[in-house]
Amino acid sequence: MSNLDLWPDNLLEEIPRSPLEILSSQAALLGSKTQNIILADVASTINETGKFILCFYLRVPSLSNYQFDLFSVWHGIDLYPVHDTATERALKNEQQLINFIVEKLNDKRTVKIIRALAAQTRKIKPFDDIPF
Amino acid sequence: MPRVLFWNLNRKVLRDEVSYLAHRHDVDILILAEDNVSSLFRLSVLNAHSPTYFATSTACERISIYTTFSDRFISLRHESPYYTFREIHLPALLPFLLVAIHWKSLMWRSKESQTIALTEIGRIIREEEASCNHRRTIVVGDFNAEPFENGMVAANGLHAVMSHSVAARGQRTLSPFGSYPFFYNPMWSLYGDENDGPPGTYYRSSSEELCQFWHMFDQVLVRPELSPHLPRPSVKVVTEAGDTSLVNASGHPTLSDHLPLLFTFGLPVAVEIEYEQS
Repeated sequence: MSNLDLWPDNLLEEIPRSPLEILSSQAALLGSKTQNIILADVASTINETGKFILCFYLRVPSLSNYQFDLFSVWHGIDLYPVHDTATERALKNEQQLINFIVEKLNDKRTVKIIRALAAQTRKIKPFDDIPF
Repeated sequence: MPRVLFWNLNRKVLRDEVSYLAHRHDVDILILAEDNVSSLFRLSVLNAHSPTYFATSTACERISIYTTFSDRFISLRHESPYYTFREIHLPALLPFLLVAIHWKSLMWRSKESQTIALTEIGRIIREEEASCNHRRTIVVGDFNAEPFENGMVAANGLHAVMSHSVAARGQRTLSPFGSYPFFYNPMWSLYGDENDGPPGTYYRSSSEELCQFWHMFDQVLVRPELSPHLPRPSVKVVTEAGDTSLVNASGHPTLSDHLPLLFTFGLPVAVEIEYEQS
């Protein structure tokens, strides 16, 4: 009886892409688009009620690792629906999540913040001839 | 003793009222939420009679901060559309972490979402404190949550308690998750009629069965490391700006839907130095 195996054989077949994997793949692209001036990453936590919380953020190493949280989403053990924590909008499948990410990354405000951060990392030429 | 004034302006200009309060109360750190005017306009009014205030840079559109000291003493650390974290290091004083927050309204969100979100805020604060290597933290703003709500009180949330002596224990260990530091929330003492000010900072009546009328959405929280330096009587909900009343005849907020919050706190000096002649 102890050798009886009741598990299915195909447990690791057709593993879906998790929201974390989808978000992280987009975060990884930002460095190459900004000469590594601005990086993106995803902070992933699980709270005590079993919610998986994913925060997509920008990070600027040359500004003392200044961090700007662009958006966050959460989901349960079933991966979908994913919920936008700001609006509670429910994203029912991978395609809806991808559409949501496209909206967020292409938002005028996001582009403006990235450009402003890039501007602030430019070195200011020091004064050569301070008269004292 | 820096003095802080926080006010959610509800997208009203309140040009003279903001300026009056800032100068009348010698405010060092002026934090405005839902301020729709440009910082240049606000500065032109604040500094009309003397060059007192500096604007500070931010990517957080919902909050603007003006200080009586240069932003060279301020390090921006972490922001989102809803909060801004700054480490402020004034000369000869120990640095502190100022978190200004204007959280999402409950009008369009469930309490469960509010709890999840405030839990995240608690985690981010703990991470930033670890990165700063200190817990001299002040969190102030419009939380759109009551002091008693789960996200405000839960250990893994903001863990903000009503009792100075409980907060003074420093932290609480919850198996198997670890230790969570307390915040002291002085706003509990300002609830209801048994204080000198109004019963809350925000008033809303409705015909629903469950109606609390007054809410304490605008709050200040301090870590135990700073709570001895935050005199409880200094925390006040302001109801007038000179001759202008901020409440109507019934005592409800009128110019903005929120009332301003004012408090003073002290900062430990970096090093005790004996008197010495230069």
